[in-house]
Amino acid sequence: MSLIKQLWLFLLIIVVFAFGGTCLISSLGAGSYLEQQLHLKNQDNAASLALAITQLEKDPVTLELLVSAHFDSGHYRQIQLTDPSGNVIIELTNPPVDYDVPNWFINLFPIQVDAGVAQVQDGWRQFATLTLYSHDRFAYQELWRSSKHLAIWFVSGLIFCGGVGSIIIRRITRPVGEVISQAEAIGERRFVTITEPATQEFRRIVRAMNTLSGRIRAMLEAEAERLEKLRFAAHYDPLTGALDRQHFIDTLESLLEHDETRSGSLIIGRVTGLDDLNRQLGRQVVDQVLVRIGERLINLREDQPDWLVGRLSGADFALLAPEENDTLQVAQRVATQLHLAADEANLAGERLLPVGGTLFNPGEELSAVLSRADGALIMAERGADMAVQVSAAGAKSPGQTNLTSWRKALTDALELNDVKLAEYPVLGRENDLLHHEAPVRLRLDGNWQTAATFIPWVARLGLLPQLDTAVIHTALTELNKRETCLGVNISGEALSDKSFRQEALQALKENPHAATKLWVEIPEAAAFRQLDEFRSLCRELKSFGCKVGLEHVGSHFSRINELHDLGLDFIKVDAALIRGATGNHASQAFLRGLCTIAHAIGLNVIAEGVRDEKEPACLINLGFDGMTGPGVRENT
Amino acid sequence: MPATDFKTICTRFVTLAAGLSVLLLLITSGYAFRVDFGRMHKLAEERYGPSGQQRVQDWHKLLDQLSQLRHKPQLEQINHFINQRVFYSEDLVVWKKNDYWATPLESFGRGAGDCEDSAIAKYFSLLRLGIPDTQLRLTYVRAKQAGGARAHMVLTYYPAADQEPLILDSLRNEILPASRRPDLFPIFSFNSSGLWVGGKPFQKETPSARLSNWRSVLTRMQEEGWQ
Repeated sequence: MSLIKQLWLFLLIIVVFAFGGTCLISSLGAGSYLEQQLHLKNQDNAASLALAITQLEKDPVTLELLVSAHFDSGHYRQIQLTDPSGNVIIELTNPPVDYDVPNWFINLFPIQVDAGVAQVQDGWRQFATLTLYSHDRFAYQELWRSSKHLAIWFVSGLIFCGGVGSIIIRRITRPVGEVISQAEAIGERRFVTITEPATQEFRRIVRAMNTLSGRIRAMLEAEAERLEKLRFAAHYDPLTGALDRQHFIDTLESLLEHDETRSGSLIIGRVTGLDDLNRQLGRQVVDQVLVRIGERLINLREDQPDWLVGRLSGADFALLAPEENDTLQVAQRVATQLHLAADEANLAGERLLPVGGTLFNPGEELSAVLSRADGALIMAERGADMAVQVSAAGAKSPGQTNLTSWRKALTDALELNDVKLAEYPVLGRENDLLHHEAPVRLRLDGNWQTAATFIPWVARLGLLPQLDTAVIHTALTELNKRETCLGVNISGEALSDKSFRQEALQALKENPHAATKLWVEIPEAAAFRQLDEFRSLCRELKSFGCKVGLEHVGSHFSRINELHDLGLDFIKVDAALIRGATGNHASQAFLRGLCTIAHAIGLNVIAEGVRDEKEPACLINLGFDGMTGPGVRENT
Repeated sequence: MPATDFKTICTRFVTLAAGLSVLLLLITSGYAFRVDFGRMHKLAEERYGPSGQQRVQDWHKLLDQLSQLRHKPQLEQINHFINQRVFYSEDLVVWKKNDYWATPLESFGRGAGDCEDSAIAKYFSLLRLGIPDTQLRLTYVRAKQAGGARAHMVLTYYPAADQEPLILDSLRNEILPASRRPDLFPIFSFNSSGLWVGGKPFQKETPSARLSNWRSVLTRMQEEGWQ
């Protein structure tokens, strides 16, 4: 039984005993008191009447008058005069009257008054025995009245005590719920702190738990900071602070492989004649120039946090602008920064700083994109008057090419529910199936198309929330037919979309069993961009038993402690980072640290984009709990 | 009837409950007019010393001897014994009170008492011997004497309901029928019927019952071992 119920019961028992006992005792006491008093009255009245009769003539008329006078002027039920042999001489009885008192009450508290008995003498001779009963009507009425008053007191006392008691119990136990949820949160490795309640005992518990939470949070922060340093050492060029070549290329490659990637721009800028400069100006001066360039390019990320800056070689800087289709404009911004940096270092001449760029589409080969960008760079280097060259995107020409026909095709597909989910296994450490990752497929003009084909257009047309809604519906329908779990991606756009949220939650409510098998993942960048929306959606999803996690986790991992209290279930680490698992020591140290922290706050860590046979063993060694990617196949 | 306020009721209830155990014992003992002589001897010794105890022992012995006899010899013996052993004396002298009704133990203990004390002692002795209550009356009489009239109490015995009674007087040893006692004029008589309702003596003796002399005697007798 719960604490609150026990307290309530305790209170009820006390109140009922106190008032009920009082009520009963006083009614019984009053009854007995009345009985006693009436008996004394009977006795006294019998004695005085008998004395009076003894003194007078005993002729029938006098007797009759005497007894009647007494009977009529007093409150009697019966007066009886019997001679010594038991014959009744006179008997006067009042007819039964209405008591104004309920029968059950009379039965419950009977007033049994003994008769008053006295002897009547005629000289020395025994004349008669007088038996007299007073009327008990008044006694009953009085008892009934006082019992009623007591009962009213009892009920009002009960209500009052119950009311006051429940307020007090509520006040005492209100913090219990909070304390319990905090304790449970800590059990789930969500290290939340709550305000200390007023009750002393609870306050001590909460203070202790808050201290625990605070310490663990501080530890997490320190770990995250350390990890950030490791990440930097593993992936960044120590001189300029830009990404090193390997990690930049890994990132670009993983971006091209993502199903839901939209087209973006890759820009490469070069400081030509670096060796000459080194000789002319000295290495230190040239390093200063390179640092400036790095700083200026990295500063561009202030407006565009998604952009990435890398140093591809000694002289080459690269900028990756995902979802940015105006390549030329980006290239010009890069060129401007290069020139400004050069000006600051008093290096004159445009020809020193060519910039080349290209648009890329998802699904393209890495080498193709890189060679296009390189080609543009060489063009820029050669071109006398234009230092900025841009090539168009290659390959991947979608069926429809204009917005109107895309809109029609997409809305048709969504309306006809021409939606299905592909399935790629996500395996655990023992090669056990965690769930199937399920990227969306749409049937456009009769052909099933991969996300890479239509996602950019869906995004441009603002249909992502509708698409995600359809994905949720499809996934739940599918989950009703099977026992294994499915993982679906939700876009950042859907995160802040009200109708998506309503429809998705409604669908989950209608399929409570399927909901527990649904894994929902949201891109890391989107989650941190819309932290509040993510938090609230996460809570709602978790209330249905869904598993919630982040995908493409990488550069923002050091902020994971901002989410530790949400009770996320898993993170999927970006393929770009996974490439490092088989690589250098620093990368491995970073990944190992990442797994440790994630485990500390109860997250499962899953690797994305696992390719060859070697990687899984390495990843498991580093502490990963699961993996997915082209190299991961389900054992059948 | 005054309004019964809560406090009074509670107080009364507590008093009532305290007496409850005693009463329960009495009720369960059923109707048998018994005397706990052991207790009575002990009390007599404690309160009145050897002479008091002796009188109680004599009385006890007499009751035992008389128990199988008929009413007439019982009346004579008891009348004689009590007139001998309870020396007539006013309440003011014996009890330092204007009017005091003594129990048999008290009367034997002191060896003195007035007409009421003597009548009471006889009344209960005869009841104890098995004479029915209906045949006995304690009677207030007006007694004519040389100096005028005085209030007096005697015990009367009715051989039958319609016959004239025999008078057991503390001032005269011989038992005479009422017609031979012209010096006495009856005023009022009573016995314990009505007080001992349902054949259960000493029932419902509450503190308020002590207010009457008669009740007070009955209550004290109960404490002294009458059951």
